[in-house]
Amino acid sequence: MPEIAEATLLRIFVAENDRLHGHPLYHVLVGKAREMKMAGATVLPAPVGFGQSRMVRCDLNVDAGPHLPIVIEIIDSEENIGRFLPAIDGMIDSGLVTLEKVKAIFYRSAAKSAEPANV
Amino acid sequence: MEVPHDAVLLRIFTSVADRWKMGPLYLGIVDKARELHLAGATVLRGPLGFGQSGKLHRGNLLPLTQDVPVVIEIVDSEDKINEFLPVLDEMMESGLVTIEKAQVLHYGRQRASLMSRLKQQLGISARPPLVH
Repeated sequence: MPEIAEATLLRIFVAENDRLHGHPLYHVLVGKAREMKMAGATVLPAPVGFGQSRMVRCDLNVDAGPHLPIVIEIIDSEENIGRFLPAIDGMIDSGLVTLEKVKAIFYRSAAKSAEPANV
Repeated sequence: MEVPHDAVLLRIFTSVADRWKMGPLYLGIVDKARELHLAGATVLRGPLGFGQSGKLHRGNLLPLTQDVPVVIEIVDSEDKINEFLPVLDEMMESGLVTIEKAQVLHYGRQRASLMSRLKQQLGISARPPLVH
């Protein structure tokens, strides 16, 4: 059986066109996660959604084009997520951030041939 | 096929470019899940992400050369997911697998299909076909 570790899933819900210092916010968040050597980040676009503004953003609505919802997921240890949260504080103007506990199996390319995976 | 109310959500984070045997890994995982009669699988594709290597995976204008993140989500009973984990272990080389508890409120068809509802409305459902 693979080795299962306790981890935290951080999900950040923003809009595709949210910007920070002229760059797309989701790019900045992924860049920050990379800079802080987080285990990984995945950006998932959503075709429809709404938030605090109650405006339904839908990819069928031409006007909503760049306003589509986007979810950034980062899974890492509780400590690393705890370290990341203050770093992005103030970056998100409107949006939602959630935290969940998950069990995780980290597969690292070299782990299979060399030493056993050390999470 | 039934899924209990207290189920498990398995998520597999990999790249479109990762391979398993002759094809993409994500398709291999979906096929394997189907072969092992798991309740279902959904593939989500992201335009941007990074993993253990730290290398940024991003989509570009040429869809065939994309090396973008994919997430495969599978919900089933804890037993079925636990049975699947060692199979998955054989397939995964790099990437991340997460497991969460999930409550299933609905799985599969709970009302008759459109065809059988139509037939019922027209009163032809129970009638055997005419034999000449």
